[in-house]
Amino acid sequence: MSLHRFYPIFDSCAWLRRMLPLGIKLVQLRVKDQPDGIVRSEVAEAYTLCREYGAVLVVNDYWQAAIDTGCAWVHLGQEDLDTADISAIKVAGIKLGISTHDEGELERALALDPDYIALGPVYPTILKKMKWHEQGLPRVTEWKTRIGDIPLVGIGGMSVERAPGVLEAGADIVSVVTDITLNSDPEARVREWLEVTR
Amino acid sequence: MQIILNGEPREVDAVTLASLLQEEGFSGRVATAVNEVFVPAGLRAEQALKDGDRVEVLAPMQGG
Amino acid sequence: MKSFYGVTLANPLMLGTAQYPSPAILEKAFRQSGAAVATVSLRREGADKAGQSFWSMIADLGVHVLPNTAGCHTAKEAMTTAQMAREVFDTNWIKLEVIGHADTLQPDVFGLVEAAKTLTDDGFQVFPYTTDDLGVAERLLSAGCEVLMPWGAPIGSGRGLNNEYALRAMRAEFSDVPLVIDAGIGLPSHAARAMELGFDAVLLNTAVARAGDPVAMARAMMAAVEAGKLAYEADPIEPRDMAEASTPVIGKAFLS
Repeated sequence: MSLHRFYPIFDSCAWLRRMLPLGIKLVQLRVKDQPDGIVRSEVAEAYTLCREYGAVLVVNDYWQAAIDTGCAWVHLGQEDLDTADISAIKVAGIKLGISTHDEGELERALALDPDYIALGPVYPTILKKMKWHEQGLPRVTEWKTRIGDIPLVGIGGMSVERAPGVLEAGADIVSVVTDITLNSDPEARVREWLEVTR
Repeated sequence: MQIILNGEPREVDAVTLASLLQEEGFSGRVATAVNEVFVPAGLRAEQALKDGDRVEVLAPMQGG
Repeated sequence: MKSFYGVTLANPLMLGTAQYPSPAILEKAFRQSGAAVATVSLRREGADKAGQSFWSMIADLGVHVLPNTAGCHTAKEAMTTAQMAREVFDTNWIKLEVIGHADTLQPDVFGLVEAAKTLTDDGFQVFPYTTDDLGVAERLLSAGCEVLMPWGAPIGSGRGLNNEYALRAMRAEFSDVPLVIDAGIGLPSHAARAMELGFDAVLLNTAVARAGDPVAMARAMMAAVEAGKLAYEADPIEPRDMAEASTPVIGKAFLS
């Protein structure tokens, strides 16, 4: 699998500008609750920044902006799947990462021939109000057995300390948000993440 | 320090990849790799050089 | 005309830039033939900064640039080369070559598929130089390639289309995929034949660069691909073993 194991998620280019120079190789831009114009300019700038720093960019949800900008990856949550034009995304040659939380969602995701599957929340997360409290490590192992060669991204409540265990349990990639963005020294935390996922 | 630049041993003052490019007068369209790993332009200033590093500086050329 | 990663080319001729007698002849060959795509490569930059002047010339031609990973024998080398090419040429297009055999320069198909996957994951738009093996072609498409470039014959051999039957099978199997014959073309008739078979473009280098008069040969190649394309679109007659009189017998005088 060629994707880097450390996959942070940021909600703006301001974060990308700060963090990409540290050597991040795989990153998701998850812009929330912004008008269309802002989303488009964030996606466009993120594309340029990632090219400059040699990182793979995944755009959350805004697949049309991704197509228009020439991005290679889009991440869709299950709700996004309801409205996304999957064939337009595939025709544009864009790779697809899909979130899953249970069997039904996994089946739905696998039917779309995804390029990665995310499982969450592995640990309880403060970020989203979810009907699933915690998936746990055994579920990570179970998911990996089910999806085989498709890369598995573990997300939800991740930290530097928890990462090795999640990777050991079967995840190929570990995704993280607040462990970095709410840290008192995000740069230092990202360096620790890079070290532990080397 | 001593590095290998484009296959040739070289004694240089520069301590980062970015300053090496300046010292050697490379400009314009070039791409860099250190020890067979690509270093994107944005990360050249961060890339510290050490003794024995193998640095490649590549530029456009004819090809089929 | 099929598009290549969203780009519609003005014509189906792709020309390499290596081995011309001089930069001036290279430039003339491109301008007089009108080829839409130029393949390029990377080399160590020397004190003469030759790379920068080559780049200005290519930029002035206004062609689509297709960097290659020539000389790479492993997926890892190809990946690093592609990343460097992307930065220098500012394009996601990459002609992927992973060479397996020293004498035929044929692709190492295993390394090729591996590299194609890694490169497409990283956002590259891959043009893989491959054989006529349909299984390998399937794997390249699954890996994320949207274009295939099967060989006509070994690079620089000038032999033309060594296995026309295999190429026809490939065209029939992947009818919606842009297919480019790459390598081994020697004569305009080879290039025309490739287009008559329904291929979407032809990539050649040695046939033009090493001809006695590269500029004239480049023009001949453009005429050939245009003829072949027109012919394919004109729904040619099927070959037959026996004769069928072209002049009708109705109204013929009885003179014996």
